Amino acid sequence: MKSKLEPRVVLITGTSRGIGRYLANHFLSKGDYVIGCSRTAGTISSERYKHYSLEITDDTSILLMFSDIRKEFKRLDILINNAAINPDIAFSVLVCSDAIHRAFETNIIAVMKICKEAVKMMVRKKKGRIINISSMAAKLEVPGESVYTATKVALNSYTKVLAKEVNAFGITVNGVAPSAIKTDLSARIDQDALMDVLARNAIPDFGEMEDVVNLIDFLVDDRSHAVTGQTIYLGGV
Amino acid sequence: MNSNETLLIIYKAIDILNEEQEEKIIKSPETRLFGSKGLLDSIGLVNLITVIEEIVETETGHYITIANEKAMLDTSSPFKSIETLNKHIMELINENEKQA
Repeated sequence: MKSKLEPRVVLITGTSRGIGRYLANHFLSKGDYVIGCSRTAGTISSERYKHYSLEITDDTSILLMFSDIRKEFKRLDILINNAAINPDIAFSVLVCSDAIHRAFETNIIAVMKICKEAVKMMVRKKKGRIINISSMAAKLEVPGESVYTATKVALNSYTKVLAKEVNAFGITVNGVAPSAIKTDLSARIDQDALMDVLARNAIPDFGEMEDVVNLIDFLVDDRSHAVTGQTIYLGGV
Repeated sequence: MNSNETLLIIYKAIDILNEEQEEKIIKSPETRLFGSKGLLDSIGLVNLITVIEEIVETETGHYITIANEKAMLDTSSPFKSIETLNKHIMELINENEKQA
């Protein structure tokens, strides 16, 4: 990416809370420009932070955001697709179809559309980094999480294929699958059940935000140009 | 916007790409771009579309998505030649102008 003296332009989805907000503050602390979005109002205050309150499943809102980014920043160095929902934790036969649609629209279809626009901005610069936030659920295949798991497995496959398609443009695409981190999303899951799931990992405990940041810093580094198409699991899943 | 104006945009994009690559794209409506006997592979097409969209936005203020549903569903691909691409782009810009 850019040298340490030149701020990078970073787009992160889902910055109002959890991992997205933490990542936004991390890049801001490094002097980068951060563009964030969420359905709710922005919760980060910085001269170098710009927030879009939008629904990422809405095509027009996404196109307008990218139009703004092109006008204001002229480039995009890093995209982190973090926004995701887990709308209905229940056995498959009990999940309503609306929850299935919403999960796929947010967790995978929106990511594809955002990547499409981001790649177009990165192509001309012959450089870019895309990080898709995946989940340990993709490997652990936990009962009651069929929809969320399916979206994350789809995301992992998309990450691999997109990596192959954009490699010629100097763009890398990787997935980061954190172990469970104490966020609003994980708080909605039965904690005893979650600890049982975590017990299957080499590190049978919650992960830390800093672990995610460390891995993302590695992946967006210039020197990581050969690391692409990978989904890296934290916590020894 | 008429077809001559949109053709000029395509030619500007081709000029930019020709500066960057050895195999030059001939600026003629008949030039076959993509598909059977086309000059461009998928990477070349992505490059061309990206540059054209950038020029359209800069010069007209309209953001168009060239690889849209219509382009994908069209049995006669708009990416076949400069002529077909020009027609497709002109329609997109004009639709955009109507909506504006």
